[in-house]
Amino acid sequence: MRRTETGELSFDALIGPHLDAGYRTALAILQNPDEAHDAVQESAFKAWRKLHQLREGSPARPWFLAIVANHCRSERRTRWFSVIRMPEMERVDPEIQTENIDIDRALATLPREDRLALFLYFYLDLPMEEVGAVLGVSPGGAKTRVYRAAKKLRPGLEMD
Amino acid sequence: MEKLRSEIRAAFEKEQAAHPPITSLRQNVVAAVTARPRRAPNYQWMALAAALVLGILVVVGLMSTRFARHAIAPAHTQPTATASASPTAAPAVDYGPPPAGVPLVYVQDSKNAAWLIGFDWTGKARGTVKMPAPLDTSRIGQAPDGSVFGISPNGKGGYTEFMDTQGNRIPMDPSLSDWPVNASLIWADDGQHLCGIWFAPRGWALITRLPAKSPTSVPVAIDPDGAIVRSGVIGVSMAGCSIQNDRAILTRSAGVDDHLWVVRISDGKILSHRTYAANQLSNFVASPDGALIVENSAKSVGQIAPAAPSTIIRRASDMSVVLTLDASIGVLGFNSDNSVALVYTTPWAAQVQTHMALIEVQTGKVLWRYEGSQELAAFMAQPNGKDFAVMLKGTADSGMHPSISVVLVRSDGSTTTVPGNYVRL
Repeated sequence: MRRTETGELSFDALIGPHLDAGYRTALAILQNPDEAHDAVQESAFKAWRKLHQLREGSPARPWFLAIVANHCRSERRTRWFSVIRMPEMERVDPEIQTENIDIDRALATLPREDRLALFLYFYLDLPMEEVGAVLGVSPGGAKTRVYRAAKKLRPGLEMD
Repeated sequence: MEKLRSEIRAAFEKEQAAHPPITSLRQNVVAAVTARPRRAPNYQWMALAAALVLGILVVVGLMSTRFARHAIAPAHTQPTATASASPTAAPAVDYGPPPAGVPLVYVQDSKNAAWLIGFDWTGKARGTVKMPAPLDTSRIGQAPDGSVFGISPNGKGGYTEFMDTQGNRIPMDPSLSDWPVNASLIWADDGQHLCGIWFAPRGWALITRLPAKSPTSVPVAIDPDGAIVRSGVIGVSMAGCSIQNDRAILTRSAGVDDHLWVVRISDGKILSHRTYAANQLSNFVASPDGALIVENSAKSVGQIAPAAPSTIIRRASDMSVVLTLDASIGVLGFNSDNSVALVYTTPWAAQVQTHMALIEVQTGKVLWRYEGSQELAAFMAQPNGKDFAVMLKGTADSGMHPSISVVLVRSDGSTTTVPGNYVRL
């Protein structure tokens, strides 16, 4: 199916399979299901308008997830209620980051971009190339970011 | 690293499992997006073209006044083209107007998206509701008895308009504009009222209202020191609302300690309040009359991290334990006399088969068991009755409008499968 002829069917075929991952990414960033649903819809609209920018043969998933991530970052910067709903949580003292630390709480204290890197790599199981594309860095940069974020959870961690 | 991967996955999984995407996400988004123009019109070119045309018209007009005689001709009214819908759906069976006063379970006709078919609790089709336009099923919800339909503007639970069983819009009370009609609402046990919890400018308020009518609001002191609001992570919702017993069950799950409040609806008085350690439970479920509450262990939704060791059914009046279930079991709901509960015995997750059972609440005895290959799409408890309607879909059917089958499960464990496949509301 040629992208120049993209209509509802081809858009659905191209982006539809990634809407679920887009919602989950938005939820991981915004941590609010309603806002995540809005974000994935707005991101899909941006993708619809920018579909010609997706090069033939390029994978649609990292391209679309990058749009979602950018939209969520923008939302968090601009919408007043994000301040109310998502205040920065208390930082955990590095001294107590041991093997036994509650991973949920530790994840909650990570900077947003670190958390996103872990989410993309460990939860969505994206390869480093796609993690990098979503984060806007090279695959090597993505690997470094994932490693650094993981190391904040487990200071003694050695990367595979 | 693998251990850390598992832990991180589990942590994210729990977060994600608490707020799964709406079932029709793909359909809704694709339909909404592709309905919009692909690119914004270029107004500069439009303005330039308009100016050019205007200039030509002015010149031609001036020339015509000099070189041509004025023609006087009667004005002809061109017939106005009227858009008419071209029916593309195959003819659907019309069961006639639904009978008044008979509780019905509604599904969308798979052949006509504007029609809803109502089945009674014996599985017999009893009526067809013909809506004025095709419906997005993610935005419509029926009252427990099917007497009214709520239409949500965004599929997020708040209803901004209501339709009757004739497919007519119910006029809204003008004073509703002062109220948060978009607030997430649940149907009360009387099948008439809607209930919700709302953070009003002066504090938390419990709202009850009839469809399309102005609500009643009472303050409820679930956050006397403002800690919940200050925390920024609200997570307060309503698990149950019984007008008949004057009782509402409020919960808070926000990644920190979980809370459960039993509240008197008429005056907002908190009758009991219980707190739970964070991340131990997946959710709370309340019986329609607010008499029973369930603490579903997080293990029931597949959490790998430590979770509550059991799923527990309690009496809301004194929090005494009625039944303790294995942590892998989660309660979906109760029938109207609380004699049986519908439970899932495998995690209820998208595109995974859902095994279920119907159990006696007093004894835990299994009355019916489902271990098929389909996934639970939705369920309903019979209003003022003892049965459940279970809607199943294929696990591979991740389409926009998954085809469902409806099975009526009686409190004695017998079942009736409604013939045909439909689209769930």
